[in-house]
Amino acid sequence: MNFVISVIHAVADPISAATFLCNALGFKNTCQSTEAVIVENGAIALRLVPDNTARQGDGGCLNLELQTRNMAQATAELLVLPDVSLIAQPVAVNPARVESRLQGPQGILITLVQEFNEDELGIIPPLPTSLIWNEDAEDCIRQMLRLIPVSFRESARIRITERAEMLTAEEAEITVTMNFAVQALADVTPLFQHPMLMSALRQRGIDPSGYFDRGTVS
Amino acid sequence: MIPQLLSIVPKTLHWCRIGLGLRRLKRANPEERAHAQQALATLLADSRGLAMKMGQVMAGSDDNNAFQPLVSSIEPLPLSAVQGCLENQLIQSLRSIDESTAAASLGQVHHAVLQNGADVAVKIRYPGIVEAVRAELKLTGWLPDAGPVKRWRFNSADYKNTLHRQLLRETDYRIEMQTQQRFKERLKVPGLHIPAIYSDLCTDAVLVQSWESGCRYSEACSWPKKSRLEIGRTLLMTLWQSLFVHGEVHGDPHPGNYLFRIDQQDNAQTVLLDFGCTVLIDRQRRLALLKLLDACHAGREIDALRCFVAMGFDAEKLAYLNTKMPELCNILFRPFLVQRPFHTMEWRLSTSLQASLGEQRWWFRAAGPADLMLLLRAFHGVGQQLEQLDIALPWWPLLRHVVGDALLEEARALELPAPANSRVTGMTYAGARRLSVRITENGVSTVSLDLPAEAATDLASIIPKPVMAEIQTALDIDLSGLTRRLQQEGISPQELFSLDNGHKQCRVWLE
Repeated sequence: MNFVISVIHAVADPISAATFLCNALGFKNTCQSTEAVIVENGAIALRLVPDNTARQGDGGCLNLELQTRNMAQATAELLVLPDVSLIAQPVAVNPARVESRLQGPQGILITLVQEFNEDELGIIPPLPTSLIWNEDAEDCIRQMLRLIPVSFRESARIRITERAEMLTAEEAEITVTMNFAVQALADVTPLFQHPMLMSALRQRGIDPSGYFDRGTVS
Repeated sequence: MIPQLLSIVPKTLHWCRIGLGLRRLKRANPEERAHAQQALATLLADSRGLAMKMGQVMAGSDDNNAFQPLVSSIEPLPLSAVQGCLENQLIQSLRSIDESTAAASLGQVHHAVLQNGADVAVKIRYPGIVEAVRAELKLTGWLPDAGPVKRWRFNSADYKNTLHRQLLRETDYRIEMQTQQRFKERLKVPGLHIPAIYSDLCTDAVLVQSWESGCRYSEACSWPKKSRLEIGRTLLMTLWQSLFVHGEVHGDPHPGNYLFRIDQQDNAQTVLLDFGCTVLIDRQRRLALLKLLDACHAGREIDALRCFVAMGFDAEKLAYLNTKMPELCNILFRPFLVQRPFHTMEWRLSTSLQASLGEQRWWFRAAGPADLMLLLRAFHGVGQQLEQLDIALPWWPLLRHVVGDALLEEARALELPAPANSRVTGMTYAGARRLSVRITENGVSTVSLDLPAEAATDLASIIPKPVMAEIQTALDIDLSGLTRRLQQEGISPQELFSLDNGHKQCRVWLE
């Protein structure tokens, strides 16, 4: 048995609403009857049911969030569609998230969202430490993490930090030094990335020999 | 005879009042709890000795509950009331001695200055406390087995013997002196300080050691993270080293037994006090625990049940939990299994054990030897302390550092004892495994118990008396006859009896 998240949305004209959702937002029409039109996009199913009391343009009943990497372009593309209008200009709800709101047909409200990663924001997040870290060791790891593709970076940040702290505790220490930090970096980084990492360490004036001969920790 | 009775009667009444206080505390709702705690604490503080000791156990490591006064602020006796215990040699060695500001269950501590100018702590046993403790211990010997102790067949004699032995040991300060010297000589842990003993001034009633300064636990909990981590490391390594390397663990981890200070190198120092209560764990038992921890940490298959048996657990009782062993180990040893620093707040040991074992968690406890109760208390104390320090530490690497490769190899090579009988292997036992009791009143479940099948021979202690009376009247059951039949025919799966009188349903069966 499979379950999907299904939202029931009452509209004046289900077929018109389904057409907009399929043409503009990539939904697929999976079932159509006099009682309902069901569209889905792999993440959510919408059951569009007729409601004579609903009027074309009634807003806010169905709020769909669309993620974009380019707010201006996505807004322009949506605004060329019929029955779509801008109701709120892009606004930063926090430094990492900008939202704008558009009104679609049949009470469909679109929230357009652009999220910024740490590279786009120009920030280097702190390490999730439990022990005490030497300043230079922490700085080194934070800089080295920038070499890792951003989508893998958060998990790498956690794994490297935990590994460095485990290595530190093996010596009954509570302060993570450069030695433990670089060893953790080497242990956690996949083998194919070792040459790049060694080169980056050399550029920071750290001799990587001796750290990279233990393989990686799964 | 009559004077003896006269001395026992007030004590008995006092213990009855404590029993009632405990019962009230157990049944109190959250609003009444603080009041009930306070009332019980006052009762316990009223009598030095065993009762106060009990209160100190209840205080745990929390500096802010009603039992804390039993740890840190009991009114000491005036010096004049205890100075009779001081021998001439000590009196002549003293330049001065102050009134006590720190009283405990069996004695109190005075600051003093020796003729050579050294500051010392003179711990003086209360006059008459040995006789008082002996009398109280006699009373505990008469206590009948009841409640979970009876239902889950705790080895109460073993528990009573351990309590007796331990408390009487604590009243002899010469033994404490030797233990403290042994700990000081053996334990090599960063940040740990054990006061030096003045052995030539000690007697069975007086212990003289160096005077140590430092703050209490609640204050240390507000120190910077570095200092709190140093304290946490010291506490953990002290426990591991005492247990696995030396086989003797400080068994009294309440906050009154610790002082904390910052040394000249800006490192936190933990002063460990009071070595009256220690637990001795022989080599095979501690190696078995280390072997089990190591295998669980590495994810290697291991016969956990035989490890527990090697630690002193009852194989027969533990056999009922055989299928739950992997889950049980995951819960018990979780801090050692995670590959990262562990915050003890994540542990939720009691909740997890309850969720996993339900009522059978009592069976696990009942299977354990009594001296492990003290060891568990030490573990629990350190866990509580780390939680209050609000720090996460990597448990396994610290343990590994402490035990070293040689001991770990020895543990890995340890031959576990062969299973004592076929039931331990869980292969041939064909009888009932579980006794189930369900009682509902007006549609509300009032009793829902799953017990080891053997508990069927003691139904009278499991089913509430009024319900039992109704059952016996309605069904004309001969309970002792039923017990005899089960003992003679074996405890096989069967319906024992059921009752439905409209508003109350009771069903008891073996499966």
